[in-house]
Amino acid sequence: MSLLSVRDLSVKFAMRDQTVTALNHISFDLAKGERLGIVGESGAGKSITGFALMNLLSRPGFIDSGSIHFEGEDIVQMSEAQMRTIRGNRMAMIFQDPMVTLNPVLTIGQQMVETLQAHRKLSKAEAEQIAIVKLREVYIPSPEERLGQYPHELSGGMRQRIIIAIALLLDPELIIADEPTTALDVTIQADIMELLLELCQSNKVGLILITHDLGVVSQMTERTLVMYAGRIIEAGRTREIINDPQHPYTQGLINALPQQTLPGQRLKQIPGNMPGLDAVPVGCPFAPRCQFAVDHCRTTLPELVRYGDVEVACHEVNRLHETRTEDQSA
Amino acid sequence: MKDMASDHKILELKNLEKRFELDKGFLETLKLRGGRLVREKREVHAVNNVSLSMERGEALCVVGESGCGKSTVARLVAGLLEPSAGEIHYDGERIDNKSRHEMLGLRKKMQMIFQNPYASLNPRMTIQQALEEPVRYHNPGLGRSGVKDKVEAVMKSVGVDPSWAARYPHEFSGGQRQRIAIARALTVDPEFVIADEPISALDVSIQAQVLNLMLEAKDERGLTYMFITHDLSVVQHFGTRVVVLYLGSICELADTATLFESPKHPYTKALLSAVPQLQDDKPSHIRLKGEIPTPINLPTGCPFHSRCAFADKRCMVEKPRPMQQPDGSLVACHAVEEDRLDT
Repeated sequence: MSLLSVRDLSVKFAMRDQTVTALNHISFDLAKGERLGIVGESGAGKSITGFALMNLLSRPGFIDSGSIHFEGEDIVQMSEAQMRTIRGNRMAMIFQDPMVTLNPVLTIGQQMVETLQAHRKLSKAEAEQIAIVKLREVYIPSPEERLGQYPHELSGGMRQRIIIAIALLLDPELIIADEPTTALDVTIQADIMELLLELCQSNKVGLILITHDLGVVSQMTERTLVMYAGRIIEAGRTREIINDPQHPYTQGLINALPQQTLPGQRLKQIPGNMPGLDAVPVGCPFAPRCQFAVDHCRTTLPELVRYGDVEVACHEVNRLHETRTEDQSA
Repeated sequence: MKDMASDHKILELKNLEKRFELDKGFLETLKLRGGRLVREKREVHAVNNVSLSMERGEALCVVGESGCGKSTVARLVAGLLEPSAGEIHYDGERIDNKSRHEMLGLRKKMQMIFQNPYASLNPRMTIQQALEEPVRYHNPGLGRSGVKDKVEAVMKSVGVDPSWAARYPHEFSGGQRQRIAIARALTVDPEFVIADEPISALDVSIQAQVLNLMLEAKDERGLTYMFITHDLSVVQHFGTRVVVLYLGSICELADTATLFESPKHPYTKALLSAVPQLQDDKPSHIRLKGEIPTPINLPTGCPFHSRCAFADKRCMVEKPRPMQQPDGSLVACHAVEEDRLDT
């Protein structure tokens, strides 16, 4: 049985004069201990997916339909009380900005002890012992002293390590990390990613890594979902998707990176912008920006279907693949 | 006859320093030390003894991590901050000691593009108004239709649809706004553009659009860029030369190709190795020990010594000077100078 099984999940936002769809029938599975990347640009629905999985959507957002089975139980149907026994305990989330996640008026120790005591019957001293062990696991120097410190006394990298330590406090089976290093410098990002990878592997923790950085996805994950305008448009093994992307959007995203072009040459840009949630076109949402779009693409929505080793939502995937193969052999 | 202007470097920074006072008022300077009241002024050493020069038509990228002083350098050059010491020469003329009034003429030649296009456009001005303002200001002789023509020409050249003119900034996406901000900078036909993280707030596919636009403007207008960024993959693509800053000091200055092919300073190496690559299947970077020290109490000696695996006694006491290497790059590192880095 997979750890997490998402089926036909749709999330909507009720605005004053209309209801917009932020997530549109997405389905995916995560095996125990598997690391999955979700990539896409702002507004694609990556973070909403993370929030929905934690059942953390608040008004005006709501889960409109679908199911999220976590170890066989449907999170969507759970009461808030039931959800609270899972959230932070068996499933933890790491956010982008550690300064917002940590409570500025509580010491690190207080926040860690609070989290532990919320889920387990522990004395303060016992909880502090566990906290110290976890802080040591994330390479925080002199953890005993850190317990008495406030978040503002620590650097950004240190804070994000503490967030990871808090996420790991109750030995969760799944960590959802939403752009965990975007606010950090590259050298610190590299340290944090390495740490996260090491901890997930050694503790067999499942990871959903939400990011816009394909390089990070490549380093960290086994499988990847590419999202566009609230839908999954390509899914498969990370290596496969990066080496031989099938969807024109995934190709565009990879080709737009400066590394893919000789220095000083024109970058291969994708024209236009991602449509707003209130203006998603009929047919394929990417069609207006797609250089391969044909009439069919503008009228009918492509389903996510298996193509070779990956799943792709593109009508023209066959034709495009053949043209590419011809180009390469020519 | 040789063109006189080309004899000068377009920009020269000589021993540039910038310190920000943390304790401004008299009362703030009073501290209790060992039971006694003493006066003490703390300062942030943002830029320390930076010297470099730029040729016309090049794109110099200033890179480094948060707090390394890269934005401060940009602001000093643009005249938005006053240096604490040192000199800035533009086109052979010293500009750091000029009055606001004297700087006005220079603003036409030198324009700046900022990171956040949401903050750099006045929300209460239409795009037309925002773009016309600098043109009218810097070309008082230009009539109403002249201004309009100028604005329209620039709009077209950077792919801003002239039908956007009557709209307000909030009606546009981040990428479109940055395009408009670039248009605004180009309306006065500058020769030197300082861009401070111009694409950091944008999505990947939009970053490519804006970078292409900036490269086009460079070719068409012969612009010189000072490009501030933390994103090394952009540097490799955009820059002709790169300067790496750490704690306000220059670590390494080299041609882009040279820097990426054979980085020399241990910090540059660590920085380059930390960029996640598409082909990596796990993080593979040079791990630095510790964290960036605070720029309030600068370490003695080499600013990087506390995190450097090659630091020895000399590094702790003597600050290395940038030294010319055989391949033309400048490197400020004792270990490189003494040839004790294993490569």
